[in-house]
Amino acid sequence: VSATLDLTGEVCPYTFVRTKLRLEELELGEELTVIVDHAPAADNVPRSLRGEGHEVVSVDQQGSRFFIRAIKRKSHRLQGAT
Amino acid sequence: MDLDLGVLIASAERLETALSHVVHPERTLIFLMDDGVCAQEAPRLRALIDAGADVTLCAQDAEARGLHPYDGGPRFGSQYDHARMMRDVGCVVAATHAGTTKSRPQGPRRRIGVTLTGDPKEDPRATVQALRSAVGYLGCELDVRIKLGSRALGLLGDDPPREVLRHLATLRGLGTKIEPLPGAPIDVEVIW
Repeated sequence: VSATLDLTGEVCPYTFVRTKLRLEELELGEELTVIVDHAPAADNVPRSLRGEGHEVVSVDQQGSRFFIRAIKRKSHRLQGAT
Repeated sequence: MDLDLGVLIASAERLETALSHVVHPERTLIFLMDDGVCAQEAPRLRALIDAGADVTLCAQDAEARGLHPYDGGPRFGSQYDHARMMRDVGCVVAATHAGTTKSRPQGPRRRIGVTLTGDPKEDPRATVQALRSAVGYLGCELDVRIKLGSRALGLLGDDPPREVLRHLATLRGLGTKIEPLPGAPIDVEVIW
């Protein structure tokens, strides 16, 4: 199972917060592809994913966009999120 | 590695004061944001990096000021690094234009108080920085309280500045309390 989250035009902190919220909706072992076009996010989103216990499979650049493929390896729940 | 200290520097003017709290650089995280990023080449900061301190800055704030990474300098990171620091260290020093605080949180689930002291319409930048950092804290599953001083109470009205609308909506959507001072007890305080 694979999901996609298009974050083009988005900047920090929403890049990593929205990624985390989207991951909450997935089951452990499912894959998420995050698309960003803010260059710092191409480094920082994968680092935050690893820091939160997820697996980063790859980061590929296509033009000005970066495709970050990750697998959910840990369950989280943001404070107050329902 | 136990992390003794986290230092938030959001004001270049307060760099030396904030860094005076560092005793064990190898067990210290430092995060620069807002105009604190302008201190990225300060000799004292470079010396702490050489001594083992983990120093990161907000890439977005640096980009907005035309700053670039340099060899041996701080890592260009994100508000995730800031939030992780607030979550993981034993003691927090937070230096902004509004003042410097030192907090020693206790207990497993720390409550972060983000206190706004200025009028959001007169100084939207500080308000934006405070609220976006609070959104980042939520991303690290911290319990965040937004506390408003008398001059910041306009955020509770019907006409807050356009720049803060999204942050306010996100914070409220994730259940964050936004309340006048003194509000609920907290473990770590950051005053903006």
